[in-house]
Amino acid sequence: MRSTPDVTAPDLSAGLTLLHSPGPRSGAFYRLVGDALADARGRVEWVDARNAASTYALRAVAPSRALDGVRVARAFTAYQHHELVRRVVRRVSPRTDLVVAPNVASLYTDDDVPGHEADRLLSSTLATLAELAAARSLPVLVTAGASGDDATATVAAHADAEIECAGTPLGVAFEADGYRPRGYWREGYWQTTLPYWVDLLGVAPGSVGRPRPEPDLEPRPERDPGSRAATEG
Amino acid sequence: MGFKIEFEGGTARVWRATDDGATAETRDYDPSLYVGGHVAALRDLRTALRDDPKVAGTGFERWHHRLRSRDPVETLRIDLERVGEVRTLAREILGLHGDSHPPGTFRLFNVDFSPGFRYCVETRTDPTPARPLSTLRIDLGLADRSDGDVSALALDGDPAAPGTDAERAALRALAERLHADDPDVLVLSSGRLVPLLFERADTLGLDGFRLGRRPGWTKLAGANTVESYGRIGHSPARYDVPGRVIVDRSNSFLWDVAGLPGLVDLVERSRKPLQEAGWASIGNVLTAVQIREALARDVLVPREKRHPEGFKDIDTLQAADRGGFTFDPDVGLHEDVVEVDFASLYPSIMCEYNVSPDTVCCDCHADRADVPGLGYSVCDRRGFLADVLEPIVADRAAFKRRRLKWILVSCFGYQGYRNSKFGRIECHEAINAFAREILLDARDTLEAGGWRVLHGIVDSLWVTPRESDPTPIPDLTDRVTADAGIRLEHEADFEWICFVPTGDGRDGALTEYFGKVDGRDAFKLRGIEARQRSTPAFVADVQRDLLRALDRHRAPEPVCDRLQRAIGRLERGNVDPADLVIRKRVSKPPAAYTCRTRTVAALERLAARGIDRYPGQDVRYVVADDECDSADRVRLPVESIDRYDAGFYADLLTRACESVVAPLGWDRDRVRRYLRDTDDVGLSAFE
Repeated sequence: MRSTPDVTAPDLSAGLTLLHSPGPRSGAFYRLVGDALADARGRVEWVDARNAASTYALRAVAPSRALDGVRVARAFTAYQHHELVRRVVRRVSPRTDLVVAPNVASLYTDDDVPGHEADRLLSSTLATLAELAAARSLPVLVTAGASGDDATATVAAHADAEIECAGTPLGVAFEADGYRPRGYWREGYWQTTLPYWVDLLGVAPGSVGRPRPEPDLEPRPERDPGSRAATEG
Repeated sequence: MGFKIEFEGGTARVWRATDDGATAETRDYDPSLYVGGHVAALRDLRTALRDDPKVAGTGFERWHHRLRSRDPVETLRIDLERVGEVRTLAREILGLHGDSHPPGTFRLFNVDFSPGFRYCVETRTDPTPARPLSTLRIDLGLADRSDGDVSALALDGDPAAPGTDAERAALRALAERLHADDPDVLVLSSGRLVPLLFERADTLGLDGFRLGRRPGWTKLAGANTVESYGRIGHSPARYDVPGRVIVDRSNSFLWDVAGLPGLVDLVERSRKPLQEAGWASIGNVLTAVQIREALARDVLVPREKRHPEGFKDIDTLQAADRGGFTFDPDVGLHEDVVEVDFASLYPSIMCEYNVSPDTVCCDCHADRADVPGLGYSVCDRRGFLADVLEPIVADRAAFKRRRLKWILVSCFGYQGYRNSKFGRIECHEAINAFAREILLDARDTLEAGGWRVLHGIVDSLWVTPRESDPTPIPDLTDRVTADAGIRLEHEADFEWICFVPTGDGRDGALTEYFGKVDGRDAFKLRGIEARQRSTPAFVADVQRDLLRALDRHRAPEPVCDRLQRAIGRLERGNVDPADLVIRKRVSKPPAAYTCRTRTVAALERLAARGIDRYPGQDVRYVVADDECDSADRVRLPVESIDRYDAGFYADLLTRACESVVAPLGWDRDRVRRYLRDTDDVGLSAFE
């Protein structure tokens, strides 16, 4: 039996995934990214905005081996951001496992870009990322990072998948289609949920397909060797 | 040689200073902006602009689009009929014409130049005045100005019409003075005097009143709120009169630090005409100097910076993100301390080590690791920043002028600033990396010479002898200078110096210290209350008095005795309220304040007198009753001040005292306990 849960955030599949994170440098984002980096075997291209690529935060969530393949470039204006995204297209190779672009819409809402130009640049940036993800079958993870709903909606319109996350009293909870949280990440420890124990130990007969479970402070997992074998298979 | 440039329709009027005044010459002038992009799109654009009435002509020219570019690129030049329409056309090119192309197709150059500067760089006109310019200072108090009453007008510091309170007399005196002296520069207490003076002259029926060398005035720009380096500032409206330069003292940082000769020097370096230099920020002047250098290298100035930093691995990112080096200060009082400083460290690095946006991480020496800790290459070709800065660094070494120092300091900051036209992150990082290395090497040399480093920050080190007979400082500074290629100067000797702990008492504050200069009756202060602009004069004076007590006794108790005495004066009402005035910068519009702060109370009192203050401007007040949350909490200096809140000011004094005794291990509680327990003020309080 595994002693600690090793998966709590949803796996990223190919395509443009928008994580609705509560802030520009939220714990949920780093949690998700940390897991994705740990899984990545090849290169990770990171187009940064608003200083999300803080080396301090990254080292806290990912082992240093997982950071070896990460390459970061930071944009400080929308124009630079757009230019970096175009460069990423040229940098991506078969060895690339993941592209990360936190706060992808954020710089486009700054005062120094005229609104009309900002809208066109942002749409072009997002279309480029979505096409890159599709053409290379590559996961591309973004957060919107914009204060306005309009910019977030523009990002969502280009996204293939969305992950909601919310701070709960038990930690950060992720929600996505086809994903049920198995744990809540908290400062320094794991708060498990029923699906985690179900995954680990099996499902009680009759419990499959019930709605999204509430987190359980004191899990009392059912032990059913038969379905355990089935879920691990 | 035109010291003042004005624009009317499609012409420029250039004023030259002559031996007996000034003459104007009117010339046709078609300003130009440039567009880059692929040639087919540029040809489409050229065709589309053929019937645009704003456009006087177009043509293709070859220019560099970046400092680092090797070969010039075909670029569309667009000449305009009027200088005021450059930005309008730029917007149209991106919006109207750009919509039929992918975004980012057109890249605009030479868009955001101020009009006079644009004229000078495009027509190679030197705006440096041909002779020393004459000035007339015109002042009117804030209250009179808001009342629209010009009777108290002052000319060069004297009442315009003494003995009368008639506005008409004041305006006549002004008109006579202008006629008699024919000044080139009008130095106004506020630019808003221009419309006010004309309006009063009109109302009072003074025919033919003028401030310029020809009739009339114009408003060049409205007031607005600006943000620079995260700080909010207020930029008042700008006014213009023909043939004379207007300097608005309420909006001229450079006039304050440099005066007229300093401004003229900056005009010569930047090619910004005097009036534009007057309202420019240091960063703005620096940008102008850089633009001149770029254009001289056939490099156009991009409207916005597109070029991003390169991709880096996490280790490099972490190494590059470190700022200037600091040694944790050794908190406490130290005797026999020497301060050594590198002269203009960061600009000197840019010159001596050729660090520049066009040299760092060059492709031609990609295999070299020239920058310590980062492994970036630095090209052998002479860099852009070296050309920009060398004349200033050389001059500063001779004169140590404040205004030049500001430019040099800004130049480093601008390398990391997001909107800097020629900034580049890697350049900023490389400068920091060299600076760290140089400071660490200097520390090693000083320690090997028998000195102990007490504190170090950015470009300065404080050392004290570690052994009885250390190598003399001049020998060591010479050695460091030779090694670094940048001069290490013996800045000051201190009889003693105190490094102040941070608020929580755990570490040393990096920029808070004070010391007694050796052999002179002088203290050097940094960061503590007496140096802060908001501190009332009384509190600053008392803190200096506490420093003298510390100097005599080197112990906290006598310092607290002096504090006790000062609090006694406060409580007895023996302090002049004028010495209790606090100055605070307004950070947001009055409606945006959600707490009832003292600033809000002061703004309310000002508003009641019809005076508006904008974000970025100062308010000045005396705290009358800090417990009160209405406008009665404060009084304004213009009011007759009937009372002050002694308890509030006693608290300020206690904090000021804490800064002085904290290096000796006393915190605020300890100070308060001592005050409480000491009924009899010790003898030292009466020295």
